[in-house]
Amino acid sequence: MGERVRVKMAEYRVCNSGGVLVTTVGSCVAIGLVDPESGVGGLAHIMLPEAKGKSDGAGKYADTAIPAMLREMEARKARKERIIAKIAGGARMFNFNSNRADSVGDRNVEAVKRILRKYGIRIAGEDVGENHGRTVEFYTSDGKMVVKRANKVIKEL
Amino acid sequence: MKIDLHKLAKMNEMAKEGANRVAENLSAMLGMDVQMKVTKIDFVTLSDIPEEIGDSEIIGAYLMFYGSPSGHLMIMFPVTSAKKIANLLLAGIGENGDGGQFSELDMSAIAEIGNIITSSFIDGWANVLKTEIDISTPQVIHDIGSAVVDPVIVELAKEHDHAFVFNSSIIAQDKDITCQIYVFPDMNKLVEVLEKV
Repeated sequence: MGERVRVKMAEYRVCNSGGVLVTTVGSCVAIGLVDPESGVGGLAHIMLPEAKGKSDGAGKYADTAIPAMLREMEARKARKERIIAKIAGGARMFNFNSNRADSVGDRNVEAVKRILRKYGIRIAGEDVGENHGRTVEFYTSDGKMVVKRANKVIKEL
Repeated sequence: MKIDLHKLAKMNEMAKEGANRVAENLSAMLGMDVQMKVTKIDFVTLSDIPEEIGDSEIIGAYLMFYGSPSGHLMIMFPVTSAKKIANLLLAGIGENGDGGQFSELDMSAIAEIGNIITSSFIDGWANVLKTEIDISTPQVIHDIGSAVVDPVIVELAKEHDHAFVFNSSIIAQDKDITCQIYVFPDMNKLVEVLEKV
């Protein structure tokens, strides 16, 4: 098994040596992309849906992290038509504003799905929403995503 | 943004005054000596905070405060400390959850402690700044530490990538209870109110 690499909030990592990329999300979303045939995979930990012209780090926003990660994967011989996505996170941990129907978690998930669709990337698995945090392990060799909760519930995507 | 040394001294005074009041009020409420072990102000990169907190399970109480300044406050207890606090406060009344489990009553006891800590801390600030600050009701959560702070960081990161954080740690020596308090004042409002002092 490859090396374990921690992906921090607002970061993304791409790997072609069979590494396991790990992160923890609450309302943020972990986006795993993989081309299983070439063994190139990446994991992003996005905080917000859109950069809206800001350039404070591609990994922070869904609409900048996804294209940046795709470019880096393609530079390492991944083929876009083979790339699939798995996503986890976007929880509503607290009620910031009880009279507003949508939370930042919901908006993050919605944006991630819309942007993946725009680039023609299929979502092969997801564990999103609800009100709990998730620790995510993404196996870049085959695209397996293991999602763990504080109460020890484990899901494999 | 410019902050002169005099203003930083004022922020130190806020941190100390806040921390002292928390220790005083908690000591009285729990009937034991409670100390603030560390109180420091950091200027941090927001996305570093979840890593600093780590992935252990915690019981967290989250509150917002409104006024001059407004901001967010997060109190985090390791699970064993939260259990001890709940047991102390509930001492024989009602149903306590077993082991790592927390009953509704346990959680409301933690919320109450969250209230006391927040109102004491913010009172200390209001006193130094000669201003009024209101606090929200606490929301209590049992989850992975870094995931608990994530929505607060995201909220702050909409405007800035860095923030001032008042970071304190409380310790009740005889009972081996610890907790971490993170206070994130809204930067613009903080600077504004410091200008006036």
